[in-house]
Amino acid sequence: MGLDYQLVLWNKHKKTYDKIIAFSMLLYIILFAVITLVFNAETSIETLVIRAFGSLAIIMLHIILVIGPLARLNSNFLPILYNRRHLGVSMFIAALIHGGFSIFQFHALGDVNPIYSVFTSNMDYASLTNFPFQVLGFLALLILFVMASTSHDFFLGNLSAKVWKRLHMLVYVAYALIIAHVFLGAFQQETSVFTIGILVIGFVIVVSLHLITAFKEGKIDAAKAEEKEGWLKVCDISEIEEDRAKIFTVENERVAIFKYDGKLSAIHNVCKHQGGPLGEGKIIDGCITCPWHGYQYLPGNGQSPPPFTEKVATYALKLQGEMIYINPDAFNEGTEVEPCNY
Amino acid sequence: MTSGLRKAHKYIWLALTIVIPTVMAFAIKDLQFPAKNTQTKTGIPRNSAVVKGVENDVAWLILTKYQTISVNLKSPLKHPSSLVYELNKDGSQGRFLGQLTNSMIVHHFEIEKPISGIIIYDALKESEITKLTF
Amino acid sequence: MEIIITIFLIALGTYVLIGLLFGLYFLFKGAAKIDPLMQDTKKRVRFLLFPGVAATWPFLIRKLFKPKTT
Repeated sequence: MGLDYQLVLWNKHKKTYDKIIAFSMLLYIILFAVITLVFNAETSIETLVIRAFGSLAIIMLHIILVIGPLARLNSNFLPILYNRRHLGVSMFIAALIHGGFSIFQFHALGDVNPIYSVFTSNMDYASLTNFPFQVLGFLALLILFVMASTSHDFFLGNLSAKVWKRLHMLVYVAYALIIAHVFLGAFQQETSVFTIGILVIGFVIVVSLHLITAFKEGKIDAAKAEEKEGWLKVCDISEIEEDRAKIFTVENERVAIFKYDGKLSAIHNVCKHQGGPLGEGKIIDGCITCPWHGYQYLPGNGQSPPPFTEKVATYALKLQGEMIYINPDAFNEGTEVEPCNY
Repeated sequence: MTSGLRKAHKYIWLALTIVIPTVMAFAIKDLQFPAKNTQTKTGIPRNSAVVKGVENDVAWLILTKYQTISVNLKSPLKHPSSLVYELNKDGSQGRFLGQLTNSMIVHHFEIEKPISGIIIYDALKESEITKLTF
Repeated sequence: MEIIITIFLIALGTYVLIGLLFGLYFLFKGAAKIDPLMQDTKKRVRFLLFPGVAATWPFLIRKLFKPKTT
């Protein structure tokens, strides 16, 4: 959180991750070049670049797509999730090099506009196996460009979180386009059971991880709590650690119930910054601190301490003996709620 | 994530589970896998006898009586994807044989029926590179 | 088919062109009008944001005409 924007939000860990990303990409490209040239010394440099960066981008896209569900299944993957944006931008750069070289090699030498040529050099749009697959790659690259270029907190704030998230969910469209691009393109010329197999296995892994997580989380969302005169039974006080929270599902929304200084407060579990799970964070210096990027909220009113302006919804709690009850009706974001003393 | 977003993700992935395998299946269905082929560093296999031979500025083409054709490029091809097809007796493009990758080696392809030659085709530019006819 | 492609590409080209012009405006003048936080932000950040601003101008241009909230 800040009062101005930084060029890149780097910290020591992120720098380490970025170095790992850059080094791995370089290593892959070098290995790809060496292996290709050993097997066929006559491969032209353009072809080598196109293939190396194209395959690199696809591998990176698969990694990016599994980070989300892996982090939800196992919290050990969370640090990679925080660094997913940089991985995404790096993947776009690899894809751009692939696309740029392809357009240059196949379309820039004629007398028509290269982009126009991408769309019109093969007009077999009605065919399936002879479909102009380069168009699919071009459209995917457009989506990746919009995503990479808006990978900055400025856009999260100014496009609104809703629009931003929708734009970035287009990655699934891009993934489908890219799979079609490869199956209708490269695989039609370089027919090999090995490469086709890898992409099929990649798809199975990505899709099963997403579906497993979706059904698992869906169950949590659908959980019904015991109700008593409009209040929902949460848990015994002793089940929450000091300065920590219990995440509880209220009418499909997750609420974080924090225990601190002999008080209890409940706020919506989703951080305004990037949707981080506030209930997995802890109270630091009297503020609920998001485990993802350290955005802070006051437990009593769900507001970020001034001069910051983020606000999340709050909920009313009550105690009966040692049992915590929550009122499922959320207050407006940033509403002051008297903490429940115990 | 909010529950709405979680739901959206779930439906998107359920849709992709149907859409992507369909695309894959249609794309794989019509794939032409290359004919049986081998590559050697020099010349034609020792135990075969040459039936016919022909050359142009791009390549040499030899038909052996063991129903194999051997293709050797004269110089590296500029085309990233050079495919070899049979040339039918009536002059039309026949079966897909495989890919030419290197001018340093000889590519041998098995053929099933008599052919009148081969077509070397650039799959990306969708243009014929050359035709060799016996 | 060719007509559809031509229309699509002209639309795309127009979108990009307006995006570039809006991006230039953002770069040299409008950044702080869209987001007050840009006032105290280093100038080079604007260059980093430029491609994204050019890509998402329809969403950002609304902020110029909306009365200030918060």
